[in-house]
Order: sequence, then structure tokens, then C-alpha cells
Amino acid sequence: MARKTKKTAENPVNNKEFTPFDKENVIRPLKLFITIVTHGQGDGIVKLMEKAGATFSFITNGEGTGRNYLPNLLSGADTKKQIVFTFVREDNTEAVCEALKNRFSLSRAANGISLSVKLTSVAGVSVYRFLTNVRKVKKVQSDDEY
Amino acid sequence: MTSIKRELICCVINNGYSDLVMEAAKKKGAQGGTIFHGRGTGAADAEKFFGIKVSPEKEVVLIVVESEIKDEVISSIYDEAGLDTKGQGIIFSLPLEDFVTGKKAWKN
Repeated sequence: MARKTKKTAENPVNNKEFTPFDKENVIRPLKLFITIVTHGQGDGIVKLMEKAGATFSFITNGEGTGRNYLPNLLSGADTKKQIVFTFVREDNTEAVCEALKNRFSLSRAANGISLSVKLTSVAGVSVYRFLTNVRKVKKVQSDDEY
Repeated sequence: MTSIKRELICCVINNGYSDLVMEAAKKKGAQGGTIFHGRGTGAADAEKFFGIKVSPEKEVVLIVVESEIKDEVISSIYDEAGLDTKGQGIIFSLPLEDFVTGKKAWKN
């Protein structure tokens, strides 16, 4: 039976020295945008986000409980909402906010709210690369190291 | 983006208790919230040991409030639908970085 080689930092399979991703590359922080819009407009928000530079978002259905909510008087469809979760790179936030603001102020029907929360960690280099859409940005070494 | 500091309160509660949460939140000055459905995955052996049935059907309520009234809203929700009650709610809050809405005129 062939001896299994342990995959550790000192002895990786490909015999290359292992260095953590964040030592060699610039890390761009991510934000999670939670956007709440009327039912049916989720796809539009996703398209808008992709134009502004986001790569990944997902939609769930929900229900709104606003201040002026009159049960049974208005049709039930009025309170139906879609919630869009989008991952946005931090340097893209201003473009995204601007696009959302323009969209929300189009008309009363297009109104919605959007909030953002800072992410503290992401598991997996490939996931991080996918979410930020950064191909490769090498860290610039300082002069005194040469 | 905005000068007012806001926080997002997330409540994960048993199915059907979202009305209780919203009532408790509105009492303390919250304007509205959004509800969506989810499914909980608890520790099955712990459920057997304690003899409680935890229903996997959950509702998640998202409420945005100003930072000043956040503590009041959370404690009010906890009293109505906290872990000691039938709602079995888990409530936490997150600080918001940005907050975007349309024109104020759309609100009324």
C-alpha cells in the first residue's frame, strides 16, 4: 500500500511552500447588501447590482409589515416582498448606493429599502475571489525589503 | 451614507409568532419589518433529552431601528417572544453601514 503523504504546511503534495493568500494578495473587504422590494422586482435589483459590479446575489420571498398596513382592505399582494441578498466589494458601495437610490426614486411602485452589513470573514480563497471578482492583485513590497 | 445610526434587528422565531414580534417592536417605536420563512436545524439529541419539540418551521423578522431605541425594542421583543416563551425566539442585532431608500414623499 502506498504511504499517504500528509498535506501540511511543511509538506504539501505539490512540494511548494505554502503561503497564506492574504500574505501575497491585497484583501478587499466585502459588504452584504439586504434589499427589500415589492414582489416581482427582485430580478431587476439583481441586474442593477450586477451592472454596478456585484457578482453574486440571491432572492427570497417575504412579507412586509409596514406602518400603513391595512389587512383585508388592500389586496394581499400589496404586502408581498422580495428580499435580495447581494455581496458587494467595499470600493463598489458608492456606485451601488447611487444606483439603488436612483431606482427607488423612480416612482412609488419602485420604492424599497436597502441596508448593508460589513462581513468579517469568508471561508475559501476561491469563494472570496468569486465574490469580489478580483482576478489577482499582488501586494506591493516595501522598498526596504529589497 | 446617512448621518443617523441605524441597526438591523434579526429575530428567528417559530412559525406564526411574527405578529407578536412586530407588535412588541412597534410598541417601542419601530416603523415596520419584513418577514420571511426558513427552516431551523437544531440538535436532535438535545431535543429528545429535554423532551421538547422544536418545530423546524421558522420565521425570520428583519427590523431596522435607530440605535437609540434598539435596546428597548430588543428587550420588548424578548419579553414577548424570547426563548422562555412559545415563540422561542433568538434575537440579535447588527450595525448597518449604509441605508438607502427612495424619496420621503413615497412613504405616505
